[in-house]
Amino acid sequence: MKNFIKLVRFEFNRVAPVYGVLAILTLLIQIVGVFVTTNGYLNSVNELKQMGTIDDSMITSDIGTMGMMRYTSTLWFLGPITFCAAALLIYSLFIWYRDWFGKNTFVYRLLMLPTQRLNILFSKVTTVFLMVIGLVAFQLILLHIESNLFQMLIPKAYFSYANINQIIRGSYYLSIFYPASGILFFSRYIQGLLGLLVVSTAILLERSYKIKGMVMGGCYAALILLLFAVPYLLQVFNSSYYLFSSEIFWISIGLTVIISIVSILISHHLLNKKVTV
Amino acid sequence: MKKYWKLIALIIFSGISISTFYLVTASAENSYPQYTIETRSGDKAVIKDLVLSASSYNEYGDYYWDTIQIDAEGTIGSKDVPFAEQLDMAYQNDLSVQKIYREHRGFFRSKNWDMAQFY
Amino acid sequence: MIEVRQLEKKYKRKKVLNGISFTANKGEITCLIGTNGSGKTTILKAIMNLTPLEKGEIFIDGKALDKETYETIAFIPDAITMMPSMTIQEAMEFMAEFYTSWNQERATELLNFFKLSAKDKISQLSKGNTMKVNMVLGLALDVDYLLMDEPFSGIDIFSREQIAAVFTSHLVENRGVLITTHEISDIEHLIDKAVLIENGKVVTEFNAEEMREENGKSVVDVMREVYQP
Repeated sequence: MKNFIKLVRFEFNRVAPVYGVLAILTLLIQIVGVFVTTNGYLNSVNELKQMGTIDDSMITSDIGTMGMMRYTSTLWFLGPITFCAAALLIYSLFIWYRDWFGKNTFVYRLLMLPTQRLNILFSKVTTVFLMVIGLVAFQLILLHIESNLFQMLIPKAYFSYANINQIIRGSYYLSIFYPASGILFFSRYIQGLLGLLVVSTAILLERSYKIKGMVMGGCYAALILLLFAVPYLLQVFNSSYYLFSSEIFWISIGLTVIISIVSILISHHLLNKKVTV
Repeated sequence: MKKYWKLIALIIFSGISISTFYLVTASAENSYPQYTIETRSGDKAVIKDLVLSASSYNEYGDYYWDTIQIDAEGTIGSKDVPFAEQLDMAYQNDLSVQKIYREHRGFFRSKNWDMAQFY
Repeated sequence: MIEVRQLEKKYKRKKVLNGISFTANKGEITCLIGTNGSGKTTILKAIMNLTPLEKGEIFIDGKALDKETYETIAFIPDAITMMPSMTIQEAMEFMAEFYTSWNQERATELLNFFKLSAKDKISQLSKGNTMKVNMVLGLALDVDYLLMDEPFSGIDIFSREQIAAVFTSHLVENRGVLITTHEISDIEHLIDKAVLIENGKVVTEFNAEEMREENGKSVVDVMREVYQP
């Protein structure tokens, strides 16, 4: 357990500089975007005024109001989020491959540590997971900041207020990252953790069996996606509702637990008996 | 131990940010308005079993707030109801209808759950 | 004692190891000799569980390999194994953190002997110096056995002398050392036991000193007989 924590700290400190840059970039781009969007909007307002429309309600019925609700669908807002998501996805692979390839073969050191080799798996998966949670938490703070900025910059007549909850519910992408309740949040991110475990197992398969392993890894991932889709497919084929939504929820929780255990067992076997430097 | 500060800071920051968010939104303030049925005239007992099942939207109608039920006592929204029932409210709004579904699970499978089709 | 029994391993349909068996004793320096690609490195990696075997068993002091093994054997590979962005100091701290057998005094002593500075970055070291750092990281562990893969290859003669000096010092005394090499001339006088490998099998093994005294043959002589009959 102690070694696990040491390894998490080690893995996180390795990537911390890049991670910090990701966070700062997100902040800068989203905030700059607030100013740019506000500017553009207020320019349109002024244009309308110059053309003769002085009535505020006529202006807003023409070009709408401005606030976070509109901003969350712009590229300024979604761009950095997409970029971070892609970066983290790539790192979930890179965190393994960086130790095998490149000028150094650091994986020697990891595999020769006097500790359970599973800790290598757990520490890498945990590090990426923490990075995801960290950015998710950071974005929440940014939502507050950006919302307040809009409130300060846009005159009351043209400003549409929405509280954080409404902002999130009103954006398809945000509501994926911030589900409606704490329990749903927990279950959704646990499933994300499972995804990381499955990806790691596939990588270990490739490192143990090379091309054959890559194919095995791909099949494994595909099989799991299929398993999760089964409850929904049942509904499609029955062309009616077969399972309660709540039942689907519990089934997917059960599947998540089972598949996590299976992935961990497979990875354990691969790390101890099959992996090659 | 000084090597741990980045990790600890991240965990604490994330924990506070996310739990604050969910504790705030869990409160009724962010959900639906509280509707009540006002007695103008007549006997309140008449509406004892009446339930209005509704979806509430924000003022522009462009975003969906919550599924709610209004009856003689007041308003119930998804926050007031156990988790499993919350999920099911998506398809089967009415809580009393849900109760029937649960009691007769087997009967209701593989059938279209639109209440209008049942008498 | 490191005991290796009937190791078999295929690599791309070719049998790299085809029934290798030998032992390496504590207090002795055993040398695996063979041409390039004869599987010597594979044997060392297999002992450290860094590569899987099709068949065979490995015992360290009678016990099978497990995570405790890494506190009794150290492997000094022929590769850069620490992150290039690390300094030597950081690499040592990494080792100190995870190994209870890490001996910082010995590490510092070795660094001084090799004339290396702890502040140097690994990425900036020459090949010779990287091997020396690997040695420091391995030798500074209070382990019973040391495995070294080609400790002398591709290194300038002065570094070779330094490394050879380590072999005769107190740093290696009482430990079991298993090294691989394909050029034996420098260190013939250092080794106790020679194990010659060809085509995935052990061709012959003998005590170097006995071979010299009783048969008047050096290890190189035996090698010539075996590899160029």
